[in-house]
Amino acid sequence: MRIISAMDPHLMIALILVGVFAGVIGAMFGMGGGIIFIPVLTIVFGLSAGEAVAVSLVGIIASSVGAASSYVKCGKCNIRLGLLLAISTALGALLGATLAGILMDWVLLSIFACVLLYSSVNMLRSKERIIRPADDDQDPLVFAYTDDKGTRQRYKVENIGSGLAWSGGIGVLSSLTGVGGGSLQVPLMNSHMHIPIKVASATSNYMIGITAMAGVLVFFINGYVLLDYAASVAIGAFAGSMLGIFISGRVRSASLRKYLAFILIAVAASALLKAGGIL
Amino acid sequence: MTLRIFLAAGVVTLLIGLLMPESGDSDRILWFGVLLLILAPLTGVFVTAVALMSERDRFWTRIASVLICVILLVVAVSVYI
Repeated sequence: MRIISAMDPHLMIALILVGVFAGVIGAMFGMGGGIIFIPVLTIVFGLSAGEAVAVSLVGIIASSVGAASSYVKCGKCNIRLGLLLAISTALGALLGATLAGILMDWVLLSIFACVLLYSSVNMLRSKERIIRPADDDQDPLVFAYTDDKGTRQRYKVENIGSGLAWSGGIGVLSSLTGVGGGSLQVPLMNSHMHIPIKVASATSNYMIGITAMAGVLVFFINGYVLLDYAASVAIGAFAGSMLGIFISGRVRSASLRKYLAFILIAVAASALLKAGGIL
Repeated sequence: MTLRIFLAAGVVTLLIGLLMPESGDSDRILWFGVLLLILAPLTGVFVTAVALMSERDRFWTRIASVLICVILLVVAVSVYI
């Protein structure tokens, strides 16, 4: 184990605040918060892309598990479906974490910027697929949830094979770039697999924790996690996720989503400049 | 509930580790705190698998078992790498 030096209190507070911000954003928008962690840790705090990915994945576990425990309690999370899709995202995460140790920093940052740009475009479009009610009780892929009006709605999960394959790809990107993958997983579940958007967001939050765990294990077991950095961002992310759940019930997230998308485009541009050695 | 217990235990342990004076012990406490955080989702999967088994939901118990096997494979590969 690497013996760490005592952390500067100002640095610790700054990292906790970054964690709080990422946790709020993650809980409000069904993401893990990696889109905040990676650029801040690499550009502001000067970590290498590999170090930032490992620290980010620990922060993502803290924020997503915090949010998921609330979503499971209120019944919006489809745990069964989450378990099924997590099989392929976990396998993908293992592959991604292995590749992250091989690829150069500029390649990782460039992939991260592309994921960020794609997520931003998804946020700006934010088209929700309206799901038709299902009626087959015997099908294990028919589920039910209670909507905002208190009505019990049934839905059937479609395209399960291709959904699993895409989820595997998202798992690779997740641990390769240190993002949770929620910004990719939620549109996939809603548009392609016909899962209601609220269920998709809650289930994605549950899955992000499992995917991040699978990704961070490689880094953790091999001693690549900067423990003091990871501890600070995890504490902040946990507090932020609790704050995010509190805020999300009180503000309209649709307009915030648009602003966040523009911020992400700027962050993607910064990551590309950093990858090119300009920043 | 299990998720919250592991998460809270992990965060409290990390806080203790960060606030302790610099030593080998504080490093070990931080390491243990991160381990608790990492174990939180895994424990959640185990608890869900047991709950599905008690509901005699064979199809989804099998899915949960496959996921547990995949996670164990990830651990094994991580150690090997």
